[in-house]
Amino acid sequence: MAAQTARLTERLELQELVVSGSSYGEAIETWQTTRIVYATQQAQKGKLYSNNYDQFAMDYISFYCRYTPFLRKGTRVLYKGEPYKIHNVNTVTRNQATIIDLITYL
Amino acid sequence: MLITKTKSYDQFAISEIKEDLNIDESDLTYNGQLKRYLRSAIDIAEQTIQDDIVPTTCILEENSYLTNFVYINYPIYSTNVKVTSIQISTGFGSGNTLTTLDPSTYAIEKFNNYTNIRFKGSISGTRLLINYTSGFPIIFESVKRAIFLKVGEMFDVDRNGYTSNLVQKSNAFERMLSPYVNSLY
Repeated sequence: MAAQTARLTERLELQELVVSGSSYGEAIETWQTTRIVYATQQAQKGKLYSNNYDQFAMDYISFYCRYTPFLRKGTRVLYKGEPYKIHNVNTVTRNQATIIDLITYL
Repeated sequence: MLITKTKSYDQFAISEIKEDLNIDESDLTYNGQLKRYLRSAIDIAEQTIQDDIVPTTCILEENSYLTNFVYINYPIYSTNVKVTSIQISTGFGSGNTLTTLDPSTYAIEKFNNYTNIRFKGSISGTRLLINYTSGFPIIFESVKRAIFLKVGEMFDVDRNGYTSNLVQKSNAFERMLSPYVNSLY
């Protein structure tokens, strides 16, 4: 089964960085929601450390959803009001599903 | 005898299906697919219960030589039938002008699972058209749920063409529709 509909309870907002200019020529960067998908929260993986000294811990969550083409660059995911970076994207073979690993910003 | 049917699928809202499938209302990616799956699911449900569910406009056409018939029964195996008009032509071929019969010249006889049309007097002709509508006046919630489950099954499972052996089918679709199956006895 590709996705158990009853378990797709978590709302993820896919956002893209849009850059525009102010009247003074300043760059204005805004995150715009491009798509909202519902996903199942996999086992929450806890902390991910960016170096060998257990410093700079990031929350690491994994989601299972229907096949969705996620881009790792220039996009982020808003989950429960908090922005997450896309750490890893996996497609489940022959199952039309995507597993997406998210980490919090440092 | 030929029955031509035209169906209206307006009673089902795509937004309701999207809510069932946990697809956000603003996500329009699957709208076209869902509409097509919905029509397929309705067709499958109608075949399962042997009856029209959605509002349907039907034309029953008879082209054999009909002469001096008085008590010919036209069995229409569908419930909720409303005959709108009956037309007849006496000439040869389909190009002949059809005359609409006076509703007092025939009677609609409703039975448990089918409808007959009984003519009062002797009529003869070569072509007969019975225009009627069918379909549930209000679609029962359990029939709706069964149709939505079928849409979900087609959307999430069947279109992959692959299922795991470990997943067992719930038969919810069949169970929910079984009280509405139109059987002749």
